[in-house]
Amino acid sequence: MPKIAVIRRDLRPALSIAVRLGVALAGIGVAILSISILLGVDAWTVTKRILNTFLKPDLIRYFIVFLPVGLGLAVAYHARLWNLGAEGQIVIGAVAATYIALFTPLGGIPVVGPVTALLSASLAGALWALLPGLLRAYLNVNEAITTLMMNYVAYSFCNYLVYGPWRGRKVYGYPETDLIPDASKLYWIQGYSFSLWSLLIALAFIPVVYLFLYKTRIGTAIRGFGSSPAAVEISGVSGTKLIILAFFISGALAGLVGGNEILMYHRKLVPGEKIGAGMGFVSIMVSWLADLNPALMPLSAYYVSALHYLRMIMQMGELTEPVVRFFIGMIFMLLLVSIFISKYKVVIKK
Amino acid sequence: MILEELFESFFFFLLLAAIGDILVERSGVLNLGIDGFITLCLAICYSATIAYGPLASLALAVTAGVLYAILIALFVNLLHSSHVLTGLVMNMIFYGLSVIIGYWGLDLAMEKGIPRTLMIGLSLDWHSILTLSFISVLTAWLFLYRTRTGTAIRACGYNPRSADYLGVNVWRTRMLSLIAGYIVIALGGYVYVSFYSRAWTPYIGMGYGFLALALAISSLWHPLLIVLPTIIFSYLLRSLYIYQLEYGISQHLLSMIPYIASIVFITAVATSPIGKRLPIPKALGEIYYKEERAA
Repeated sequence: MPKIAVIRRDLRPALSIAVRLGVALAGIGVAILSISILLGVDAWTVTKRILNTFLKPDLIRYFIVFLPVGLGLAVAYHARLWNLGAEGQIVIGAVAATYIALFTPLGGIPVVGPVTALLSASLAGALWALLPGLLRAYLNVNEAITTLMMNYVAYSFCNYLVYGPWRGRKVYGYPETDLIPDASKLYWIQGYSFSLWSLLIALAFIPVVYLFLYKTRIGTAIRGFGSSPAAVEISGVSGTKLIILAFFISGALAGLVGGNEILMYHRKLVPGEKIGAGMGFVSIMVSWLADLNPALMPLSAYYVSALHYLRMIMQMGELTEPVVRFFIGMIFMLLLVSIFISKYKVVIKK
Repeated sequence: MILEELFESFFFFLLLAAIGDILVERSGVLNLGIDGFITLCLAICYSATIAYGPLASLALAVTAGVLYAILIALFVNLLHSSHVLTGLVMNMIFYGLSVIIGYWGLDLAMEKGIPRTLMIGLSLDWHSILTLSFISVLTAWLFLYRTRTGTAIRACGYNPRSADYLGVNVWRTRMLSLIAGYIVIALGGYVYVSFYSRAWTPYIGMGYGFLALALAISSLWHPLLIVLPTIIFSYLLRSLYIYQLEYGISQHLLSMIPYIASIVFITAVATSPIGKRLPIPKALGEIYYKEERAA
């Protein structure tokens, strides 16, 4: 009887990238199919809309979210640390940025206001990620579960603020704060919904994270930590410190994005579910779609932003959001298959 | 009466979800996909009850559980995918699908002209819930600790390689435990819709899966130890709104408590001396790569 065996292989980088591009193309097919079947729109209209989406500069508003968060998570995932809490770290960053912009005099000063707000957002996100990091580093508590739980705590904390002490005086009972002062806002490029500064900051992180991971001693140790923690310890780098650093970096980038969401997009604190909007979870897969490679991250972030932006364009009522969730999930499932193809092959033994 | 307060259908739902999760994770499969399944299962139970009646709904829920388990097994075993990523992707897909299924049920109720709240004559009193909980906990324990298959499942969770050397088929055992676990979870979902909520709103049940996961960890994946934390948690969750009414504490601050409590529970268990001594599934989340055996 023939037996199936799965054996390891190393696909050439070019082929490996080709497999991923295949996934990206097949993903667009999945998106077209699911929208036209589940929402009852004819396939040709959907195809035109989707192709249109990829050319719309407005999707940069999501690109600015997915790129830095994906880069930060890549640092943690290179060390095989499951930081699943980007969602919560984004929300906490948003809370910190709102605090600086709205409740301290700093918010009224141009340049100083947004810079401090972004820095403190980043610090808040980093500290939020630090707690599961410390628990993992010192007590060996499973970080996947604790980071997941922290997301819900962050949601509730943000909701407590907008429903309670921070609710604005001019918002007619909506659960949101007042608008932040003009000096703290990051202004949009005329006609689009994103700010040039935010885009430049996001892009600047590509070389920074790349150089950190591949050209510094600590970055190399982080990459090695994933496959062999013992070897890293023997080489004289403390594993505990690496864990803490990796969590700190990924949290800082997610927090920064959260702050930017307030200064650039919402301009006020809204309930946590609206700030995160599941983007923290999607970022996890953005990171893996780029094979954790900072240089490929822009491509992966661009692709996912386009599909994410689709929900704003389709406007098919209350079902659009779940349908987008569904097919983005399907695309990531194809990604899992592609990871298998580039790492293993199936042979039939006689 | 305190027993009535403690043993009601929400407790039973949480208990079944946690037991199902224990069955799955004892085989070493990190079960993050449970949250997506609970969300999906509640939507299926609701819509199927409206469309085909309560019995067919039960059958459909169990079938969905089996299929979901097979899908996870395919990714985790054959495709050697990371357990965490598989779980997250499954969640994403089925959160989305659950809303589509649920709205279908709501629309159907409107078309048929029947109320959107389910009318089920049957209800579970605390006697029957106590008995049923007792039976399910005992069955799970007997299955895991007193049968050959159960022992094989625990071996796969503790050290899959050694289990394989001793003649256990790791892939088959993990698939079996996934199927068994998801059937129990599906029953839990059915209890939630038919006896507790009797209604459906978008994304209802989201987050309970992760709570069940935390409960399983805090009981060290032991089906007998799970009862106490489940009683505490389900009581806590249901009585939150009372604190809000009586003491005026914000509902949003209160809804943090279960999650903070589970982080504390997990940490306490991980650091306590008992946690280090009991044989927990050490290989949880480990991708089992069979061909490395010969090396």
